[in-house]
Amino acid sequence: MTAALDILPVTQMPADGPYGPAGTHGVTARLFDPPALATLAARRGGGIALAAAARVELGLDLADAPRLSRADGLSAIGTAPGRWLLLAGTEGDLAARLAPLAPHAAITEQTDAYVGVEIDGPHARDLLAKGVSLDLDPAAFPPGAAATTNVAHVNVSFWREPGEDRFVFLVARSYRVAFARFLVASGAEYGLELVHRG
Amino acid sequence: MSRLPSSGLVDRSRRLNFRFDGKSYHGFSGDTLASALLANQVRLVGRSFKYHRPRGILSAGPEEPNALVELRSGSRREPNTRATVAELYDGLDAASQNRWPSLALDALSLNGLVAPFLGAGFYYKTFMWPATFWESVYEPAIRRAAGLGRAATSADPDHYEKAFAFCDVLVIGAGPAGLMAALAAGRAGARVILADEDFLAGGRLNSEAVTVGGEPGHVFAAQAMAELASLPNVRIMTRTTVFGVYDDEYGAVERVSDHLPTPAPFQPRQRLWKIAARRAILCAGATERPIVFGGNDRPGVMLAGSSRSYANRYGVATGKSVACFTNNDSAWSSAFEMKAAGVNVTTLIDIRREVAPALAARAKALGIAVLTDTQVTGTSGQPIGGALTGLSLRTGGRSDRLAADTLAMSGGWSPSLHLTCHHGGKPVWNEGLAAFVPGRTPPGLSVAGAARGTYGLGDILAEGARQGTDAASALGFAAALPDLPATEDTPAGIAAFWHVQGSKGPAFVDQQNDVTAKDLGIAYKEGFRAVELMKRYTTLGMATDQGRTSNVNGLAIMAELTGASIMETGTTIFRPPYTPVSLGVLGGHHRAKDFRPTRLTPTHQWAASLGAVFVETGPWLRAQYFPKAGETDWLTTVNREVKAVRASVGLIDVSTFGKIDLQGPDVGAFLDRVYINTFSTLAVGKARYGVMLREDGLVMDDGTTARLAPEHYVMTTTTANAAKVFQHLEFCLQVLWPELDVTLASVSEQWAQIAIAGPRSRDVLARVVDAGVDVSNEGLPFMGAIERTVMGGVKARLFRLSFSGELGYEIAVPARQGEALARALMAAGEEFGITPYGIEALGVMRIEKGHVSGNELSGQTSAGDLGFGKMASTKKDYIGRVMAARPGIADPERLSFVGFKPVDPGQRLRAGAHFLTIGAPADMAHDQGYMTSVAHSPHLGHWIGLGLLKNGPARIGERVRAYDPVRGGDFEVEVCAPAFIDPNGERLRG
Repeated sequence: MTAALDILPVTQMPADGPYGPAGTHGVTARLFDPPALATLAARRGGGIALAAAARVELGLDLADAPRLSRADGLSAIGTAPGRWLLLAGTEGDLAARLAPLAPHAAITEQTDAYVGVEIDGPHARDLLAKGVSLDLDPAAFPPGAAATTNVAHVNVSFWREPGEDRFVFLVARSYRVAFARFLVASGAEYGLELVHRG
Repeated sequence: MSRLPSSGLVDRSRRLNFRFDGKSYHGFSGDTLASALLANQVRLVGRSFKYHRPRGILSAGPEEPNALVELRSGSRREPNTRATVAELYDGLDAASQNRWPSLALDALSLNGLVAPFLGAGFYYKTFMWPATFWESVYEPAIRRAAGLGRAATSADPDHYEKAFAFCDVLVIGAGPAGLMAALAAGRAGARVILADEDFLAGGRLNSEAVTVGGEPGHVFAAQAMAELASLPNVRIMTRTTVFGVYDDEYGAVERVSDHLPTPAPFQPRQRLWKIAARRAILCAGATERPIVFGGNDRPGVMLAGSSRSYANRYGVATGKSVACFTNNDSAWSSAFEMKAAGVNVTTLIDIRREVAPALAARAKALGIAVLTDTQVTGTSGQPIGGALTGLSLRTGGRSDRLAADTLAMSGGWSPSLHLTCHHGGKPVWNEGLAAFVPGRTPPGLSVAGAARGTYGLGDILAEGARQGTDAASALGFAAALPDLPATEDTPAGIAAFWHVQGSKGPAFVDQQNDVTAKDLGIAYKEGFRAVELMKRYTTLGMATDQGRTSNVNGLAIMAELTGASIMETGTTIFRPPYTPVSLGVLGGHHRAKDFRPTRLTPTHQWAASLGAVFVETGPWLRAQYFPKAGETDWLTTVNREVKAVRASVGLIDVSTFGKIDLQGPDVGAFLDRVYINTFSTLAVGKARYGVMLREDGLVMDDGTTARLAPEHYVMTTTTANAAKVFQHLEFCLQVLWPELDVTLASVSEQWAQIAIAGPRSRDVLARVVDAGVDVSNEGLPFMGAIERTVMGGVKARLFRLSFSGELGYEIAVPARQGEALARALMAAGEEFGITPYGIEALGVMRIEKGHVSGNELSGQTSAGDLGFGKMASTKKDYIGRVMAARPGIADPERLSFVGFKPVDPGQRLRAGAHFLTIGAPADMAHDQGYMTSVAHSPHLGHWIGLGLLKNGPARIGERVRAYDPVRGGDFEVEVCAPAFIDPNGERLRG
């Protein structure tokens, strides 16, 4: 990878700090542990009932599409037909919170399965263009758009937050160093600030 | 120096020093290496591929067949760089290639003397016998003599990357057509990418003295570029070659740093772009063709349009005395413009009897002699280096001579339609243009300008504007046709002409591969007349330039020989890449340790802190063994680890196993269909070992599946098959049995899983579970699976499972707790001497116990082969059941799973050894099977093995020969049951 990567071990998270030419700061990547995560899969024939329950019980518009739905600190993104990743803004028993959906869906605890990476900055899209094979132009991938895809051979789910070029990635935990290496290799050119958010 | 008074477009205030073959020169910013060499009157730049003939610079662009150099040095050395496109930078260091001892005096040019023997088909005819001579004698000799430069011998220190781009309209080429197309689409608001391979956009506008919109062509180009740069919806990519058209995307290479001595910090050398474009317009221009005549490869013989480029764009006279030789009007324009720029153009030689009166008048006014109905029949040159000194001419029946140090030739222009062929479209011959024009184009791609065979500048501008407008309109943008700038029209008359008959000396068609007109004659005589055969027999067009300057001439000469038309003769088509693409850029970041991502287990840092040695298992890094101070070889360590487990307790991270969560009322029924054995009857709180087959009846995977609740199961798969099994289950649910109410979720990443094994493992477990959790033999019996908490409230799944054959447990906790669990188990087991072990010890113990693993689950073994025949239920259907009953799969003579021990306990077994009946010859006809896994058993004190043997279980007690010719092993082994310890499983259940 880049000169920056040549000296980084493949088995350790790159340290916090700036990567790239001195004085440049084009992208920030904040790594964080999601407070609570679960996967939700509609039971056979249970999609409509699940959507209704989500609306009534959680106030969540569970779009069966690669989109972000958000209500009351709960974010859901469609990852496949009838499947979602649910992310809570605070720690706690997400499965219990989702219990009203249980008759219509399988709920699987995944809090430890993923790390989160929030990427923003004026060169966020330039960095991501080196790994994401999707058109991230706001016209094609507007705020709230989500995708489950592959970046530098790492499976990811991500969405675009409202606002300027801010993307949140969920990356399988065992791949977190590999993904961070992708970020450093691709972002150093623009000045990448890597931050582990507590 | 041969710089002209006018600067052209180079910046004479910025002087750049460079070296060629160790000698220092200087050029200017805006030069290519070729223009700078010509400015320094360096005419001999390389030796040809086969005959080592002296060669100079033929062209001024990517079509260059001759001026190939080694650029840079050391680990950045880059062979076969075309000097005509290498942008000059300060400190550039280049060397000629394919010469020894020096460029001017080359020993192997003697090849030229034996040229009569090195013609077409030479290799095929000469080196047929004896076959062994090819590898040992001929090939090395040929490789030494032939050559296209030397690759660097150490790793490339630069890095490369890949990127994706998206646009409405991709415009390929920023010449007059491309600029107009980009302006039209860009002004309409379409997202436009304008890619140009040159470092200066403008194409021929930079090389021809034309007026566009009242400005010199290059000024118009610069103004257009400035406007495009100001449009936020337009992305300009210079130094970027679009090299291929693929399905729904275009491949391009951006040479980010090739024009710099070394890339700027954190910049890649090159970047590979995959461009998804809804529409594309190919505006790649055209390539001039040489004329085939004797001695046409001498340094000093070059393309007329290129000679014009050197004068107009680079301010360089290509010679002191320049003659032109042509069949078309463009060379006349070249001659006039060169003369106007101050080049001494003496003579215009045209094969045509008559030319337009205006051209003749202009030549007269400029003082250029005109010879019509005249052909160049030969050349003469300097004794050393061979550079051109004179021409032999033939006018009607009369011969003449003319002194010239440069011959600017033009046989007409070939549209650069390469990309139009990438989806299989065949070019179409246009008799009037004497050129191939695009046939069927790839979806969404149109062609404008000279690439389409449109040669008049006004028409080119109009065509580009029209297509840019049409592309944007078709995509829903309100596009208006831009105002067309006024320009003069350029004369383009041509009389098809290819080859000077009866000329003196070898007449080269393909200068890079040293293919002559005579070689085509040989191909004709020997029957290789179809274009594809001719190409392969003569190697015409097969060099790195893909025959840009030679293909059409070659076809035309073959057409003359066969008497067919060029259209009937047909053409070979172009495949990607358009120009050579470095392998580095195709790899991008994914090289060395980043070839693919490395997956780390939850306990990686903990294992590393204990000094573990890691091994790659698929993408995972797993602890292989944990050497202690003083242990010098892995076997010592592994023996210690195995003994410790069997004597007391050990632990290993098994998080890499695939883990799949299954929920729903039909999970039991589903599992019954995917496993050979029954799971619907499994009690809640219990786990069962299962074997899964592929549809063809062979084993796909094995593992344990536990029932956590009536409608909730969790399955484990082998590490290697985790993704494959998940995919298989998804397929079954989505396609085969959509009626089953079952949902799947991968939980491989959610759970860290640590196995503890050994007689004291229960004691250790009891110390990490929370108060009130009963792990006694009654509370957690063999194959029990329960959900409890450990380490003070951490959710955990406890399984009583064993791969080692000892009392054992697997403890799953959320992944972030994995390392804490490992530390807690180490602390809890301290008094028992708990020993962390790696996958080597795991392997030894499973071989001692006779469990199958990846080596045996090879995709070639059936359940019966592996001893699972009795597990297969006869009361239900399951995937693979029918096919497993095929006679071939059910044959008792099949290779089946058994154990092996050496008759002489001192012998080391080797996996891969083949079994032979004692006394039978060691050949494949007598092959009886092979050893799949071996280990040194510290328990038994000798090597043991598992393997697949014909009719194996019936042969227990028999001796067979284990033959390993690869590593020289050849000794007897005894067939035994595949369980070397505790065959009745008493240790597991206590």
